[in-house]
Amino acid sequence: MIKFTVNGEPQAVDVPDDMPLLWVLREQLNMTGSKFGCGMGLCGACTIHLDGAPIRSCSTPISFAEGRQITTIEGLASEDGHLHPVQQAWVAENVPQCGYCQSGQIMSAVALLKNTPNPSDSDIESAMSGNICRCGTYPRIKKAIKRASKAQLALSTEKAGAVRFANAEGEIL
Amino acid sequence: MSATEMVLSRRGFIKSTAAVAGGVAIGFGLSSCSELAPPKSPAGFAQANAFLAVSPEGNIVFQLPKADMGQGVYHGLTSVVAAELNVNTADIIIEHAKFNPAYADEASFNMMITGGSASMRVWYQPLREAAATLRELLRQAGAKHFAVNKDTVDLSPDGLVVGDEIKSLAEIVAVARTLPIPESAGLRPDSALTSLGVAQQRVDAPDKVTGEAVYGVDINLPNMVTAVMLRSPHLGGKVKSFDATKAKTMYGVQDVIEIDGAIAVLADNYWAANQAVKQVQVVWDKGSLAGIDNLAIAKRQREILQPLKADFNAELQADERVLEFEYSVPYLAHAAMEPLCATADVRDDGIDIWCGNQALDFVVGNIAKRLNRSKESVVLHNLFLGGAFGRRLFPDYAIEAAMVSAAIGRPVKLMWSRENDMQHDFYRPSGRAIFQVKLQNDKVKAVQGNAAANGIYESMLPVMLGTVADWLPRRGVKAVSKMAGKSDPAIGEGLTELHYDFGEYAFASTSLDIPVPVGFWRSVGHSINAFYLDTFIDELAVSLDEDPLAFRLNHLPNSGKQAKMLRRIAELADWGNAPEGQYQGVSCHESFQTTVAQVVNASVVGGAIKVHKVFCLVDCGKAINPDMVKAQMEGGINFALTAALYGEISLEDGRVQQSNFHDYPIIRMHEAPEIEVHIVESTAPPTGVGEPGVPPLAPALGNAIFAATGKRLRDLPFKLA
Repeated sequence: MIKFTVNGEPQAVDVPDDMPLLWVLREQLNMTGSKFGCGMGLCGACTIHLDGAPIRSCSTPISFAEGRQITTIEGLASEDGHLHPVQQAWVAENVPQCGYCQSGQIMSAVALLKNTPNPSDSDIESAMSGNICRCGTYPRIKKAIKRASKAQLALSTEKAGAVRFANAEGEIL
Repeated sequence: MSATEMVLSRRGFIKSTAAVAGGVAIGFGLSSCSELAPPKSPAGFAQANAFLAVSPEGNIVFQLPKADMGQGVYHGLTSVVAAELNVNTADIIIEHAKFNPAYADEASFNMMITGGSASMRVWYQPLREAAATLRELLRQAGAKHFAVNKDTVDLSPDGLVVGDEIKSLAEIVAVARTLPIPESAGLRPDSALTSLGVAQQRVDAPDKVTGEAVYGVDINLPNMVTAVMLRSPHLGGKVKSFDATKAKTMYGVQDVIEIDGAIAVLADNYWAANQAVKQVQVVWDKGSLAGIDNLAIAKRQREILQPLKADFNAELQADERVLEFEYSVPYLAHAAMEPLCATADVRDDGIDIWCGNQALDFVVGNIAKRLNRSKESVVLHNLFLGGAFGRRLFPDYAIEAAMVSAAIGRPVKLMWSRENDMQHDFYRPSGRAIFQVKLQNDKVKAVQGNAAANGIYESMLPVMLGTVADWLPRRGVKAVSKMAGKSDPAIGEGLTELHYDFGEYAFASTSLDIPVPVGFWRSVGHSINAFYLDTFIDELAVSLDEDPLAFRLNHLPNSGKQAKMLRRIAELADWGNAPEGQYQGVSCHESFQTTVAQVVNASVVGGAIKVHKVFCLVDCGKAINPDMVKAQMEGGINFALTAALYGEISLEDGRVQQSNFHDYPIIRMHEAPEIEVHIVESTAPPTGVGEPGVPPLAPALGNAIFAATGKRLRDLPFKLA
């Protein structure tokens, strides 16, 4: 039995150690949001987060996930169904065409913005160049990342402002 | 609703449709019409026609007659229905329509096919008619139920308006079911369709950003076995003998069987099956393409191209000269992001198939025929397509799944690896053309072109004739048979007639007689022919020391669409004033009744081609969803850029040499240019946009590369030595 956590839920599977994480998610756990595109880590459709870092799940053995935290596209929205700011930006910019690669694109973008909240064009290009979109939605992905970045920065500024204000009043939030 | 009422309603609908849509006879004309009952909504629904019904809960349910592969019919066609009904697009429940002749159209050979950028062009008006019928039915039902005048009842984005009140449609569904389907219903005036012509949020976006959208590859059934095929690496080859002893002992493997000259490895899951496939030992019969490589193809193409029809060099006058140019394009794979996949459950009492497919007739008909079942017993659950670009017009992957399921008596999910997908495609044909021009005092006197490529309809014919001829609409078969001749129309499309005046013009095309499996690839023959033509025109201009844009305008009718669009794109792109270090190329091409002009700004540094920006102007008639028109242009440009820079499938001993994205690269974000799309204001009926963005890109880029380097690249993909 290999034990790990997916989107906060503990999971255990009895499969060979070298079975790629992608197939455990898609076939054993029936979580089909992460997609199969190439099987060689070339296209990024299978991108998920392992302990917060983006990885290609099609070429990561399940043994690698033992005791670790996995986040997939299914785990991005809040529990009440409120979309993640990156997902919201994707919808607002009408990014998806066929949509098949977008789970992986979004997971890469979320990881980028976590480490680089205000990315430059070249930051975006280098973080996203592992994800292929055959429909060619790249210009909109770029726009959506910038939109999400703005939204997240505005949100954190708002929060920081609120904290400062609260502190000035002597209250602890 | 009774069956009689349904038939009547369908007839009524057809009558009004045929009248309004200028003879586009939607929903009939199929010779086998009587074999399938008209589509019927579940009990309790109020159904207006094959397309629209209202559920007992008051939800409007739309049967989407076309497949969504990303081009946007899921939103686009629904937005038309919503506008005519005056409801929100997002409030309509959309179902992928099941196979039924009611959803066929003449532009698709009277079949249920998605292709040819035809969906909006063909269905805009009939779907408005279908929606108008439902609106009329609901207004009548509202008037009856609430005992008011019909004039005070109408649909609105908030619900059913009855006088000053808003009611739920659920209240009138029961009454609507008792009413006859209105024989005629007025369309709302165009000016009332205010939700069209402006940007809308795609209704499929939320499901596509949360992983909720269901593609063929996402079906998991209880008791399902996963199959991975081992096919001959030599195209058209078959199994001679095989040894699966080791494979059968591997983790998760259930069985290894031979199906149609290939091997199917059956396992508990994909990974197990795909691991075991590598351990099956097979001796292959190489088939009819043994020994064929790219050189053999080029040699045969050149043989076919000669001699040209007219001998321009005969009796050449002193003031005359002849120029000749040769161009070529390679085979291309579709490489949709979702590898092919179909799930089949073949039982004694019926067959269910789940996959994303562009041509439902081919799937249903071929499976019925192969398994000797009635086609009523084959239910195809069409899903979102994870890209297709023409590949999913072929039913091969669904037939395979059904054959394997029938052989083992269990539900089967048959998954293609990326390698399978790339090496067993129906490729965009490789083509070659010679263009000759006769000049007199440096004026163009005559042009002739001769092209050779694999015939696409010829490749398609077995799908239609070999297995399904007895039930396919006869007109469809006849039409395709005619096209699958020595001169396949796809080889010539965009070249048989020119908008340009080049004096005498003659064009001939011949099908290549080497049977590489080929198919429809986004923009089909236009993806080849725009490259030939607009490269040729550019070289001609340069040969005559003329500006490529001015030369084009000099040979086009001044007030024609092409000239207007070229002048406009030149303004938009500031033609002649590219940023420092960048060079421009232009192209304008009409395909599928939509015209697209593009200017590419590119640079070449140290042999590396970089596309900085693409300006794009599109005339697609009335733009129903302008933001989706722009998205399709952006997508088409990036799709074409991959082909122009990298796309090449090569053969060695009849075997495809590429296998995955490392040796068949797709452009990535850092290579994707800035794209600026403009739409020509138009009141003309809408035309399609899925494909027409593709053709102009390659020639415009090649022309820009020439401007940058002085090197004319006549073969795709572009390679600077």
